[in-house]
Amino acid sequence: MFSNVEALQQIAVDVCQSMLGLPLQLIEPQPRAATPLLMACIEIHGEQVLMVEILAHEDLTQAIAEAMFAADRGSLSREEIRDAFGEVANMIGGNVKGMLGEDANLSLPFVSDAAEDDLSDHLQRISATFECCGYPMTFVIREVAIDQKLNRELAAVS
Amino acid sequence: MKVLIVDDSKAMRMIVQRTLKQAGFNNIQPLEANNGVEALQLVEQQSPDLVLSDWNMPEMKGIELLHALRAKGQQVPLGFITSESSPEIKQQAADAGAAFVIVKPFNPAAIEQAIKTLLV
Repeated sequence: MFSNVEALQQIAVDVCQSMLGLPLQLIEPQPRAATPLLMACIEIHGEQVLMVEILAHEDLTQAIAEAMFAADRGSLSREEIRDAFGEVANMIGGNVKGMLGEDANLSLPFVSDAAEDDLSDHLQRISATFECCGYPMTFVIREVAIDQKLNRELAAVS
Repeated sequence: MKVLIVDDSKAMRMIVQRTLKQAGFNNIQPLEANNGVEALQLVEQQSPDLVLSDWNMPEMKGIELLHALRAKGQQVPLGFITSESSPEIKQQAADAGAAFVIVKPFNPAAIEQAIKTLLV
């Protein structure tokens, strides 16, 4: 299990600040808001199955996408916003995978509406929450139980 | 100079194009492909001077694209721009004849350093 919170924080900062030009401010974890959240995920299949997740308000994902596309405010489609948000997960996941020091495979990223956090779903997890553009954004790495992994694979192809 | 950018993320293709300009490569005609299959067709049709490819893509991965190009006798230089940062990936790329591997996130200096000798 990837347990280096400081490394996760640095990867998040490197991706968002240096690549996207979006400043991040590390904050305390926030209670989950009821307002629309998106989750970008990517899986790392190595000695364990790890899920790298990013949770952010829809408005923040729009800001992220507008930074990536250098687009005018409100000009991007839903698909473009989700594409950009997924690419952030892709970069985070790739860097986490590179630090594992083991042979592993990286999945393609996928973006969905954020579900309720199921504490029974994961074995171990680390997280880092930042403020970005006035919204909290949470980065999570968690070990996925095998049956949940299979469930997600089945869900992805259905 | 034609540069084919291969990535299943439209956002990343935009970032690569923008970073090429920031690196000083202003006279580039960008071509875009969503995956390796599309890229193979575009290489045949457009004869780009350089291919910049992601590693993980649906339909055909970047390393498969490189192998397919060389199997067809296409010698266009290909470099990877990928989130994959492991030594194993870099070795696979080198063994297959990739010109370079740039790891995301990247900056204009990394782009400039990697391709300045290829686009002359």
